[in-house]
Amino acid sequence: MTRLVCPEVLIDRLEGRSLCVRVDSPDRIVEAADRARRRSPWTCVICDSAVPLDEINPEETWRGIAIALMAPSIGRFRNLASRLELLRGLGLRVFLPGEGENLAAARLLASVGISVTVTFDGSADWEALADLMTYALIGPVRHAPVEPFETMAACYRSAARGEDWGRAWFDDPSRYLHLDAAGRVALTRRELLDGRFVADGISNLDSDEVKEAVEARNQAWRELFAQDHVCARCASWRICGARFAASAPDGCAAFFDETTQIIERRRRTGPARSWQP
Amino acid sequence: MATLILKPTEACNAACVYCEVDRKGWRNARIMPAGILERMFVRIDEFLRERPAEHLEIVWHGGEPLLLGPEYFDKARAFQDRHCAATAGRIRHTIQTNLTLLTPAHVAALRRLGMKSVGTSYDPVAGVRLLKKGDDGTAYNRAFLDAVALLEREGFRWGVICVVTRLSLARPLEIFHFLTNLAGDGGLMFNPVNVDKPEHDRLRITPAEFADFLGAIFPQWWAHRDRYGRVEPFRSLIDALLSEDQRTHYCQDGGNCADTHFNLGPGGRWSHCGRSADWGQLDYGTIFERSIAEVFADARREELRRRNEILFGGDCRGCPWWNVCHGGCPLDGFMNTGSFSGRSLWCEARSRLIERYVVPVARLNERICAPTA
Repeated sequence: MTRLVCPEVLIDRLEGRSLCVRVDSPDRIVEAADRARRRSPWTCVICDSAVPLDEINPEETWRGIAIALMAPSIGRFRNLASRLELLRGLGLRVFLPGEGENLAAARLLASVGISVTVTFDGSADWEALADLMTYALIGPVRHAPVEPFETMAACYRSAARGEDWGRAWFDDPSRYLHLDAAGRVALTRRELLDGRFVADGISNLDSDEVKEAVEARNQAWRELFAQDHVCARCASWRICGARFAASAPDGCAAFFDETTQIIERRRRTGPARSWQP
Repeated sequence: MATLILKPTEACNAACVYCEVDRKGWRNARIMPAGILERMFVRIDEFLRERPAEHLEIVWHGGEPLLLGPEYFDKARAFQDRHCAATAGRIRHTIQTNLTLLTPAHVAALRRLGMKSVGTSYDPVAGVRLLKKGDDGTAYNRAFLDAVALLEREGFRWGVICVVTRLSLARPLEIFHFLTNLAGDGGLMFNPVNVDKPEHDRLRITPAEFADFLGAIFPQWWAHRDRYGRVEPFRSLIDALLSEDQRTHYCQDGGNCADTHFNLGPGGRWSHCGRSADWGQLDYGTIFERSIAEVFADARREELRRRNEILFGGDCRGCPWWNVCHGGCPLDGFMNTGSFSGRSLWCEARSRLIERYVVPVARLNERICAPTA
């Protein structure tokens, strides 16, 4: 079932749908979750926080709510130390932009048992990301999942086309559609922010128009072969699916090649055993 | 398993730069009449009844078989139902097509013939695959890519042959990745271009060049072979090198096509295979005169049967790679030497590929089986 990423204001109009309700402040998490749960079979809350994680006060009332907390950074780790037990006990995943100190911070959070997702685009620091990916997939110490690498591993297929790992970022139109406050429908968050919609209202959510747009997007990779795009000839296409083709990135091929090899190694050897002295 | 290379038409809608269709004036060639098609199933039933353990693969070939239209395939199915009621379970249909004419109706008709996969060919090199002489290939590429999308939507698998020409030589890995990325779990086979006209010299490659092209790909394939579907000639090469079993998967290397392959052309003439029919060699008479059993008993097949013995004790004596190719395709041997007992020109490509690339990269030295007659 397609999940709808929508603002709070739409909850009442989307009864019976699986929802990812988007709020812009941690203060809104509990109420949004309560309202959505009364009307929806599956719910999570996506919270866009303008402040670092250390400035957010998690609450006991968040327990049992699936929360994707999007923060610009974690702030100071020492400020988080007293809240770790609570953070670990919540259904919380912290999303961080995958740049600069956030890459080390992501590892830090994972190492203390807090699930984390890093987001990045075609201009990423691929070398630094490769380090984090290696830690995430075969690091020999216990840690919480680090996304999108776990999803990449799950989506990768030997001798076959893999699945879209963009779901780790709510960015997979066959699983997630994005709605603005007016109920207009976009295939991705980026397209919603850019005002590129495939339907102009909730009433068209199930229209053939939307289905065709989703299908066209799912098949859009084929166009790269028609264009003889450099991604179509890339050894790493099998895992990245040309996700960054539009931005003509540099260095992504080596990163995804390394990722593929790490995934294959993990499949051969099984999960890393915890190291202990 | 007997293999019938069926050419119900020699016409083709495409104008690929290396192909012989244009040169032979086949563009408007005829389509096999229904009477011959029906007779074919009568002959097949007769053959399979005589040999209860035998199976038959019908490879729809051409020309371009999709030119026939979906109705033609349905007609074939009806004839099979009518004449092969007791033997149909031992008949398997496959097809080799350029796909550019594929429609949902074709897919449905192929499915009714029991097909679940399709063999095709494609070259991701500009200016090679064309629908019209002189075009830029865009229309062909679009049609092909739309067709593979359709096949996948319909749950068909597909594998692809890539013909290596001089235009391919500069970027073997790019071509390999393009095709394995596109084909997903489908197979990929590289074949060398065969050029016999001076105007096609710009496409011609030498056996050494073909070996080096494959050799540039082999390390990538070997290191990561689990990532790809079946890639040839690598998979069968490795199997043949490491196995005492002399069966190989492709007709040109098995050394046994005398007892497995036959061809039927649009006018109802039997020949040995698609290539012999194209080249006007090994004509075994017509479907009205001769049964399939008689075609397999044709005296000219004796030379093909003796070929292994002649080569093993002659031109190929002492060759450590005998098990891999058995001297190659007899038709290539004929082209190279004027005799069906001659060695193929492409033997040199095989030995160079094996010695320079396969054995050192895969470190096969101690595991290779000795050649056996």
